[in-house]
Amino acid sequence: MYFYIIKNSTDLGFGITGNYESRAQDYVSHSGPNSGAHFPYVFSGHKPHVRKLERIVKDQWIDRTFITRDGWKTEWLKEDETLEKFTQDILDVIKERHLKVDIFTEDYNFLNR
Amino acid sequence: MSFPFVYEEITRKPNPMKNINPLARSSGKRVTLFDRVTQLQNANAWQKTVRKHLDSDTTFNILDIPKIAYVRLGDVIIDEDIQRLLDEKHCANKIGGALFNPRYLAPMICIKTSSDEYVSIDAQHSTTTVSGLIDAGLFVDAEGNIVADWRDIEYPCVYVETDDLSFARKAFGILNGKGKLRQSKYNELRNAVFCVRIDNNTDDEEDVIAERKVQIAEKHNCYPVEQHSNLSKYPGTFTHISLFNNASEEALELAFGWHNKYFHQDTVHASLFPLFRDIVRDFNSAKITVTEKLLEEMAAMVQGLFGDLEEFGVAAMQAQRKYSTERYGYEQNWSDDMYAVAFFQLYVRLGGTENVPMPLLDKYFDPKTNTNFSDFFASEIIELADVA
Repeated sequence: MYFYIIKNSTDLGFGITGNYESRAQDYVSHSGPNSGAHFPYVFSGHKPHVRKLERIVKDQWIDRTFITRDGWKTEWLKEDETLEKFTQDILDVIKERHLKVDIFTEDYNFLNR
Repeated sequence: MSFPFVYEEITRKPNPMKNINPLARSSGKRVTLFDRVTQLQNANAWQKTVRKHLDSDTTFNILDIPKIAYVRLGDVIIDEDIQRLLDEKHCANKIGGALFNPRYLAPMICIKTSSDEYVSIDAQHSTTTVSGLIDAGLFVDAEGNIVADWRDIEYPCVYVETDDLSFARKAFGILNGKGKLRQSKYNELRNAVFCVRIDNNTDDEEDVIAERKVQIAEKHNCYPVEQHSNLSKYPGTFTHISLFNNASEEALELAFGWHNKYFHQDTVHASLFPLFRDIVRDFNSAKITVTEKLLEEMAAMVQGLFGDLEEFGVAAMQAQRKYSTERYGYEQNWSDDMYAVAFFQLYVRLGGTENVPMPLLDKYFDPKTNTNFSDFFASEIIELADVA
């Protein structure tokens, strides 16, 4: 199981998947080859721990994520979030909570594989 | 075989709930209806609703807003095809019981027909109870004299003029559930706690017990909050008020103490309540002490294998589905007594040596295949457990 950080030319987001390559392909397929969509970081680890990591981001860091006017909670971060800060916070929370999750690969771009 | 997991300390961070716990004190906040209307008008859902009405050229007649009258109780008619049958026990034990106070009574709701009949569509239990109490000589008038005849008492009534019984039927459905925003379990709990904490009113034993349970939670940095509240992101919060209400004080003390000691950075998952309910019940019955070592090993297993109780719950449900499919050929429904069974069967499988009551280990055991829930956890759990 993987936790990834997604970045395109305008937005920063996150998600989990069992297959990060096909997920990356989906992003490129939906937003186009010039969208700049790529995974700056892909983390992998013990499935329940990866899911817990995602829940921490979705629930406890809800104030950092973009929510539509209808109340739909997206997996995109607010404009003022940066890749550096978000990544560092992910690394910190993995360490603090003793999650069996590590960086698997960096700068994964489906178009460059 | 020694127990393979060791609990690793999680650095405690200040919990904002300590200062913003809404049950600690009244907000003291009052707003005007104008404020509420403004809030509503800013909501996306409201704007959509208004747009729909406008697009369909809908208008409403101000004269259709219900009117108010005092109606002689002796003149009230109840249509049994619309209202429920009278529940005498509800009148005797709930409305008219020890906590009866006429100031809690709500107006009855009626339709007024063209022949000037008032047909009750809501509050028959209240009006029947109050009439019964008057008839029993329990009401006095302004001069202190016993009220003689309930039939002559004029009772507040909200009514709509119509002969259309289908309207009455729909209105009854709306007033009694469908379409009505009922008070949430959290709101009920808050009212009970505030009666004791702010109003110093301990007349109702249920309020006193509720407040005492909230004290237990707060002592361990756990906090009931409203569902979908923006507070539910904070550690120690929980929204499962019914599970909390039904839990014994002993179980809450143990459960919240465990959560606060080992998982103080997490919100409280629903499974905590049935898990500790069954621990208290089964360990007490078997006269087995829940040792500190057991509690720590439980935390170590949750942390090492699942991360938290929520992930344990997901994994336990998956294991139970696999177990029942293989044993019975179909997926048996989940019931919350399975949390403790799955938990301790896995604990023993991992080499846990602390005493565990046998009923927890025997339940859902398949003698034909010599398997129980612990054999059906997902491979990533079993593999990690075996590696550890």
